[in-house]
Amino acid sequence: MGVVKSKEDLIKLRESCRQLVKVRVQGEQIEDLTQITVFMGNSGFRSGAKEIMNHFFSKLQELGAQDIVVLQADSSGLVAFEPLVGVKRPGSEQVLFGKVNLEKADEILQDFIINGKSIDGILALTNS
Amino acid sequence: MQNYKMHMLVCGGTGCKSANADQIVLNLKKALSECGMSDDVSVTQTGCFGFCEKGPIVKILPDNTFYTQVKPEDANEIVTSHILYGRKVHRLLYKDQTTQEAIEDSKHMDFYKKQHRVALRNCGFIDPGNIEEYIARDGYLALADCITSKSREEVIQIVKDSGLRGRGGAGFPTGLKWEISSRYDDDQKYVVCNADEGDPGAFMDRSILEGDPHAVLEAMAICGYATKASEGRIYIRAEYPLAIKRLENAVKAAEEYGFLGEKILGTDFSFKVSLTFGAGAFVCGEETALLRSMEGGRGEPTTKPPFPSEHGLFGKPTTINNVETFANIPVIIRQGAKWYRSMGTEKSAGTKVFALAGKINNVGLIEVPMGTTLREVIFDIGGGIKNGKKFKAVQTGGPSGGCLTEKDLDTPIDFDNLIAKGSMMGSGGMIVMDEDSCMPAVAKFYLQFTQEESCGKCTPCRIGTTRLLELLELICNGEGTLDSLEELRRLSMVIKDTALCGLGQTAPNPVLSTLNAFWDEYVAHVVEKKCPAGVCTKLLDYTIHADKCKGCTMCFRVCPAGAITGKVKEVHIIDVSKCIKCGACMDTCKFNAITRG
Repeated sequence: MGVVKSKEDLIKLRESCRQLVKVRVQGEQIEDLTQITVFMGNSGFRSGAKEIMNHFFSKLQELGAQDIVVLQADSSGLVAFEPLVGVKRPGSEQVLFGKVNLEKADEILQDFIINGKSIDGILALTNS
Repeated sequence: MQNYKMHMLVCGGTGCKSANADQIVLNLKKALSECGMSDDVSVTQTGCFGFCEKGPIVKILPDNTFYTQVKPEDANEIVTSHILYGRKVHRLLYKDQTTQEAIEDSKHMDFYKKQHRVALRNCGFIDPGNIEEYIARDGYLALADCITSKSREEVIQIVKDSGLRGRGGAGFPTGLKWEISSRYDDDQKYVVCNADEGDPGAFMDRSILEGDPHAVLEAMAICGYATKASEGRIYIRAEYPLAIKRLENAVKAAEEYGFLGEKILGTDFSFKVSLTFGAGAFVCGEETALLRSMEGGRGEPTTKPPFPSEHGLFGKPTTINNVETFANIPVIIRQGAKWYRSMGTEKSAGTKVFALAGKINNVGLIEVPMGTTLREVIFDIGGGIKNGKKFKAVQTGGPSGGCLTEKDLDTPIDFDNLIAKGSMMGSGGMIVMDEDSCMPAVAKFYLQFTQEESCGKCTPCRIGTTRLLELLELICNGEGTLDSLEELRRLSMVIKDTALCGLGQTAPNPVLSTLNAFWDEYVAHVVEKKCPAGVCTKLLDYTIHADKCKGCTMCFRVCPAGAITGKVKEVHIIDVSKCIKCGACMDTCKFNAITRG
């Protein structure tokens, strides 16, 4: 890295540096973010939840979305529905989606979270 | 740039490092690479999280999991359980002190709930060795704002309006100090950062320098711009090797990026920073002594005026500020004076960092808005007194401050309130004492420190503190009289009025405040020749009560001095001439037959 020559350069540099601490800032502001929780544990892992989680990560990376965070949790016990994904918007209850595959993950992210449409597949129970 | 999905932060403060935090980092990295997750999860060593009592700390983000007292051998489990399967390692989570429930999100911990971290904003958040993480947190933008779009007067005005007062102890308004310095013209002017933190039990400056060194460098450059100084020097004690290392790296990085050096950010402003190492003398925290030491002379104070603003380092106008004061500056510039004023009290704006130590559950570093009460600090954040004992007093302001007691607990903490109560803010050390602390002995402890640290230049301090200490020793040995107490008070007042510098002027404070608050305890020492707290060994005697003694021989066996005689099933007797008053017999007696009086 060379010498920063002006305030504008510094602001540009800051933008690229923010990536370094993005995950930590998300942690700081977690209550204000939409949280996608992928339930893992051994059973979730076997059902392919890790791929779903990684898929969310790479999609969010592509979109450059700042207000959505992907979290991982232990298996919820609803093994039959795994891969299980929870979505929690700030200030509201978490809703769950069962048997999530890559297409469903895209739908959850694009339609449900970003566009705010109601979609099929919400499990009729909440995880509190 | 690498896109990590999770971050693991390991505390890299001096406290956690001495508890093997470096090995934890290595083990975590090794475990991650064994699971093939090195590209997904980063491991970063940050500055102090403040929760030193439960260190070493490992924090995982974005889910804010806070693992306490982590050992290097726990690394594998954290990775295989938490990182791989999302299953938190329950036994390492922080447990709430009252409910004993594990707290999953560190934001819900009592220790952090009431805190407001301004000076410590980046401690425990960024890697102090990576300037880019500081830049990500708006680092050096305050400096850029000042030198590209603000006049010197505007900068000074912001600092003045913010109401920031010197965090080193005296509480002098920082903006005013800058304004005075800016008035003196000279071919060379200096900015000095006082990092000679010497109070026993205080470590806020060290933690800031270790956790966020760039904040101090940026603030020094801003101060240099405002006061027309082109050179900054940090006076830091050589006893802080980690802080020195991180500062040296920070200076180097800042020079590489052009935030220090010639023509900063394309402007005409040039500023450089260098370090001077102190040898750890307490008196060198006093600004005139500090300057003499920096010049290569003996660390002895001189009379004021002239003040350093006019006649400082090498006779040139010099602005001296404390580390924590500087750490507040970049945020004040970025967020404005009004924002800073919105925290704290009318006469003491902003927040203050305190180092909690002594008989308190959560030993560590905290930052709260001024005006928070002692009760909130000690009981809510500090978690109360160790082992369920009773609170007796808290010493604020280190050896220069005084003791505050139960009745002062609801006092909002600010500069003026503490002085009104006979103590002072000092640099922010808080040593908590419980019912087992003997106040004359506490005063003696502080006097031993100041007497030893007196530079010896002025008579009131050199001889006065020695005499005070002698008097306190007499009292603690049971050889004092009521006259000794009067003499103690009189001499304290004389020293206060006549000593040359702050060290001597404040040295009698612990004596005076304990005399005022715990007069009965002093009287017990000199009249009844008793130490109510059971600390002063010369005043203790242990007695075995014949009616309760079963002759079990336990005390006979533990006595290291062979002072106890007696046969099985016969009453035992202590030979007072041999007894060293260690109390081992009392601790071991199962029948409460031994008492201390």
